[in-house]
Amino acid sequence: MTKKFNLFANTLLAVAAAGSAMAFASCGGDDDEPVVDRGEAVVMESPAGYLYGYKNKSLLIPSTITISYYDNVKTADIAIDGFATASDGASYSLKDKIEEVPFKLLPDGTREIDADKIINGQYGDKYSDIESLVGKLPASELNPDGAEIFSFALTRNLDYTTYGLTFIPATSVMNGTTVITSGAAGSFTTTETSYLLSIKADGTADLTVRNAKFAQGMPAVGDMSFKGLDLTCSDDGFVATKESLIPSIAGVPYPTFAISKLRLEADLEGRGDADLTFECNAFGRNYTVVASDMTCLPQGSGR
Amino acid sequence: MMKSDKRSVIAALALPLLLQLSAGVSADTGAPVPGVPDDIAATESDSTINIGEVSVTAIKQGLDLRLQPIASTVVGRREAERLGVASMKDVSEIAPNFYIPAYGTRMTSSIYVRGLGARIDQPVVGLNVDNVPFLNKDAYDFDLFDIERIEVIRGPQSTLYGRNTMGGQINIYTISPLNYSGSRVMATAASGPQLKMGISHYHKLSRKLAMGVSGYFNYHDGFFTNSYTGYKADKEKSGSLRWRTEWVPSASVKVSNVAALSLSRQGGYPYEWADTREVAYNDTCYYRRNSFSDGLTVGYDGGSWNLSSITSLQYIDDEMGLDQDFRPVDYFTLVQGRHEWTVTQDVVVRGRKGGRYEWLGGLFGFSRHTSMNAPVTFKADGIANLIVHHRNEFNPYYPVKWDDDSFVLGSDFSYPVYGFAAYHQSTFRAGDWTLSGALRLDYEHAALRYHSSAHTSYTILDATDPSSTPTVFDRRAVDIDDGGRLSQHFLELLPKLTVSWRLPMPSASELYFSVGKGYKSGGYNTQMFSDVLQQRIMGMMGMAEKYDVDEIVKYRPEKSWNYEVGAHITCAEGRVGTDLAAFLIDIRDQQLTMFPDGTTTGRITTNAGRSRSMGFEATVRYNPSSMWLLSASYGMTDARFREFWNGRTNYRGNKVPYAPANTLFGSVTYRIPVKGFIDMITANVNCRGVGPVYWDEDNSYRQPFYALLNASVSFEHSWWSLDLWAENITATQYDVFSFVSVSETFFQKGRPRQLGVTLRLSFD
Repeated sequence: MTKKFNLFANTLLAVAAAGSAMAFASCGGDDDEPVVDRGEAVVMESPAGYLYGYKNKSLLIPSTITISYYDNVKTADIAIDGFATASDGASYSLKDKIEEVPFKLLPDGTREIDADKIINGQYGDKYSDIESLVGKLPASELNPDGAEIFSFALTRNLDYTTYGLTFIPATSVMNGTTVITSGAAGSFTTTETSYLLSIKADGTADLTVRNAKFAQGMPAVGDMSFKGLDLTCSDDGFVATKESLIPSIAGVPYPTFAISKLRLEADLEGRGDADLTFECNAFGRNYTVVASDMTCLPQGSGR
Repeated sequence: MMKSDKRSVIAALALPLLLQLSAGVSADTGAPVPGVPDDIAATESDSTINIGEVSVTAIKQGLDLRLQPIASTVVGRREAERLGVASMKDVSEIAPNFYIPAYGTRMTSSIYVRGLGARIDQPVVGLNVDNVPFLNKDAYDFDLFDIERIEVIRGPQSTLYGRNTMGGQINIYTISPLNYSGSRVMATAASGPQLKMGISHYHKLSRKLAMGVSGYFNYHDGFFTNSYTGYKADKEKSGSLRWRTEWVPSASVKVSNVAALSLSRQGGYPYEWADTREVAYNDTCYYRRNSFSDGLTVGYDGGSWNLSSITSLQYIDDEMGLDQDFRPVDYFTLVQGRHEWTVTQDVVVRGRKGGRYEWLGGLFGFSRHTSMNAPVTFKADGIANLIVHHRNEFNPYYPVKWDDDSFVLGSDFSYPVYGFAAYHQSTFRAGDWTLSGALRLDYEHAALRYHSSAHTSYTILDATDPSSTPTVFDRRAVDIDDGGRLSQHFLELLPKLTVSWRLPMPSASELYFSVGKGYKSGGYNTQMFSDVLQQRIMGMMGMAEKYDVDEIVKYRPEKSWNYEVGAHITCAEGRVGTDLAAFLIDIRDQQLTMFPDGTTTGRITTNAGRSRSMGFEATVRYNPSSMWLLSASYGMTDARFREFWNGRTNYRGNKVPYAPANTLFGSVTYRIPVKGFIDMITANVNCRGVGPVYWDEDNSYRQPFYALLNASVSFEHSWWSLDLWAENITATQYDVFSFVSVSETFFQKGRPRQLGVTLRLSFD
C-alpha cells in the first residue's frame, strides 16, 4: 500500500510541478515584451502605373503600391496590388504585403527605402533589394503637370524563382533644357518645353511635347502629340523609340512637322533622369532636338 | 438708351434744377453783402483770380498763380478769344512742354506733359471745369463757350489734387455771373466749312444771387475725306448748355453751382494707311457722347479759417464705332457702348492766409461705376487672313474652312472704382523765405467683372491626297463663355516739399525749389479682351500664346519723383514777366500703350521698367506799351527709357514715344486805337511749334519739328467785334499721330489751313 501511495503522491507532485511550470511560463511569455506604438501612418499611394518584370516576363501589370510610413519607428508597410490579363488569356496577380521595412526621412521631406535584407511577405514570399524614393510635389505654376516623386523597385523570390519588379509610371513628366540645332540657322535653347510620356498597358507609348518651339520667333503651338512609340522596359526604366511619325496638334495631324529618329531613354531610380533626341523636318528645314539630363518624375493623380 | 438710364438722367437733371430754384426762392434782395462789390470788373491780370469767385484754385493754391512756387500758364478770356481757344486741346503748345495732339475723336485726349503721357486709360493730367473734376480722360475734350480762364499747372499736383495728376492739373473757368452782367453772342464761319454759335446771358437777380445760362453749337463738315465712301470722315455736330448759379446768402457763405449738358456726334478716326497715305475704310467710324455734370461748391468763412465743400456728379453715355482695320477690307469692327456715373466730394479746410504759418487740410472721396459693352465682330477678311491663313500655313495638309462669314467676340464689363484720400499742407514764412510741406494718403480700389463669349465653328479638311478633292476630316465648334472678377487696390503716400525765396526786386518775384511725388492709378485695360478671346480660339486650333487674363489686362500704378527749380520774375514795372523752370522726373513702372506683336487688335497697357525725363521751360511776356504785347514760351524735354524690356527687345536709352522733345509758342499782338465807327484794331501773329515726336519705342520713325503760323485781325467796337483769322497759314503738312495695328502703319495728318471770321456781340 505504501508503494502505491508513494506512486500516487509522486504523480500528483509531478503534475503539480508541471502545472506550476506552465503557469509561470504563461505569466512570463509575450506579455512581458513591451508593445511598440508605431503611431499614425503617413500613407502614400503610387501614381497610376505598372509593375514591370513579373516572373521575368516583359509584362506591364497595372499596379497600385501603397506605402504606410510610421515616422515614429522609421518602418514602413508596403502593400502591392496588381492584376493583368495577358493577350493569351493568362492572368497575373501581384498581391502582397511587406511589413516593417526600414526607411529614412530625408531633409527635403522625401522618404527613402534602401533595404538589402530579405523580408518575408504576408504570404511567405521573400523580398529583398527594396529601393524606393517617395515625396509629394504639389501642382503649381512651377509644376503645372503635377509631377510627384515616386520610384519603386524590389526583388521577389517566388517559388524559388527570383525576379525584379520595377514601378513604371503610366505618365512621366520630363523637364530640362532643350537644344534645337538647325544647320545655318544655328541653335536655340529653351527650358520652357516639357515632355510627358504616357504608357499604355499594351506596351506602346505616346509622347506629348508642351510649348514646342524649334526656333526663336516661332509662334507658339499647342501640345504636340507623338503617338504609337515603341516601348522597351527594363529593371532600370524604359526606352521609347520611333523611326518616323507624323505628330498631331489639337487632334489634327501635322505632316509639316514630320518627326524621325526619336529615342527617349529614362532611368527611373531616385528622382529619375531622361534623355530625348529626335529630328523634325519643319517646312523643309531639318531640326535636331536634344533634351538631356531631364528630370523624369511620374505624374500624380492629384494633378 | 434704356429706360433706367433715362430715369437716371432725368433725376440727375432734376437735382441741380431744384437746387437753383430753391436758391432763387430764398434770394434776399435786401442790403448789399460785405465783400461782394456791386460791380466786379475782371482784373487786368489773366493770372489773378477774381475776388468773390469760389474756385478750386483759390481754395487750394492761392489767388495769384504767379506768386505760387509752381510752373503755370494762364490763358485769360481775351487771349483765349484772340487765339481761338475753345477747349483744353487748344492750349497745346501755348503752355511749354504741354502737348495735346488733335486726332481720333473727342474720345481721344492724349495729353503729354514734360515727357509724361497716356493714350488710353488713366490720364497724367487732371481736369477741373468750374470746380467739377473730370475723372475720365475720354470726356476731357469738349468745346466751352465764354471761357474766363484756363490754368495749366505743370508738375505733380498729386498731393492736393490726388490721383492722375502726376503731370499737372488743368483748371478751366467760365464767366461768372458775379463778375459780368449782360448778354453775349458769338458766331463763327470758317472754311471746311465750319460753323460755331454761342449765346449767353448773365444776370444779377439781386445783390446776393446771380445766374448765367449759355448755349453753344458747333458744326464742322470735316477736314479729311474717306476716299472709299467719298464722304468726310471727321464730320462733327456738337452742342452744350450751361447753367451757372452764384449765391451769397450771407457774408460768410458762398454757394456756386454749375450744371452742364453736352452732346457730341462725330465721324472721326481719319487715319491714313501708310502704303497709300489715304483715308479709306469701308465700315463706319463714329463717336457719339451725351454727358451731364453738376458741381456744387459751398464756401464758409469762419473768420480764422474757411471751409469749402466741392460736390460733383457726372454722367457719361457714349458709343464708339470703329472700323478697326482702317482699310477698305472686312477685318473687324468694334462697337463700344458705355454708361458711367461718377460722384466726387472734396472738403477743404484752410487757415487764415497772410500770417507766418498757413495750413490747409482736406478729405476727398470718389466713386465711379462704368458699364461697358464692347463686342468685336470678326469679318470675312479678318477670319481669312488672321485666323485661317495663319492656321493653314502651319498645316496645309489639313486646312480649315470657317463655317461663318463673321462672328462676334462678345465682351461685357462692369468696372467699379472708389477711393478716399486725406491731405494736409503747412506753409511757414520767415522773411523772404517760405517753406511748404504737404502730404496726401490716397487709397483706391478697382474691380472688373467681365464676361467674354464667342460662338462659331470651323471645318477641318483632309487634303493629304493632292489628286482628289479634300474631304471633311472633322468639324469643330467654338463655344466660349468666360467670366470672372478681378480686383486690386492701391495705397499711396504722396509728399511734396517746396522752398521759395522772394527775390529782392521791386515787383513780386521768387525763386523756388520743389520735390514731390506723382501718382497715376493702376487699373484694367478692357481693350485686351478681344485679343484674349482671339488667342483662345487660336489655342483651340493648336496655335496660340497662352494669356493669363489677370496679367494681360491688369496694369499697375505709375509713380514719379519730380525735382524742379524755377523762378517767377516780374520787372520793368510789371511790363516784363518771366517764368523759368528746370525739372528732372524719375518715373517708375511707366504705363505705356503698346500694340502687341502680330495679328491682334487690342492695345495693351503695360508697365515699363523705369524712365527719366528732364528739361526746362521758359515763358516771357513783354508789354513794352499799351499797344504791344509779346509773349513766347519754349519747352524742351528729353524723356528716355532707363529700363524697358518687353520680352523681346531692350529699349534702354530710347526716347519715350509720343512725347515731343520741344514745344514752341510765340505771339505778337499790336493794338491800334482808331476813331470812328471802330474803336480798336488788334492784329496778332502767332506761331506754334512741336517736335520731334517719335512714334514707337524702337524710335524707328518720327515726326520732325514743325511750326504752324496763325494770324488774326480784329475790328473792335464797344459792343461788337469782328475777327478775321487764319490758322496754319503756310499749309504745313504734318502728322499728329501714328500707330501700328495688325502689322500695318497708320497716320493722322494735322489740320490743314483754315480761314474764318468771328463776330462777337456783347450787351452789358
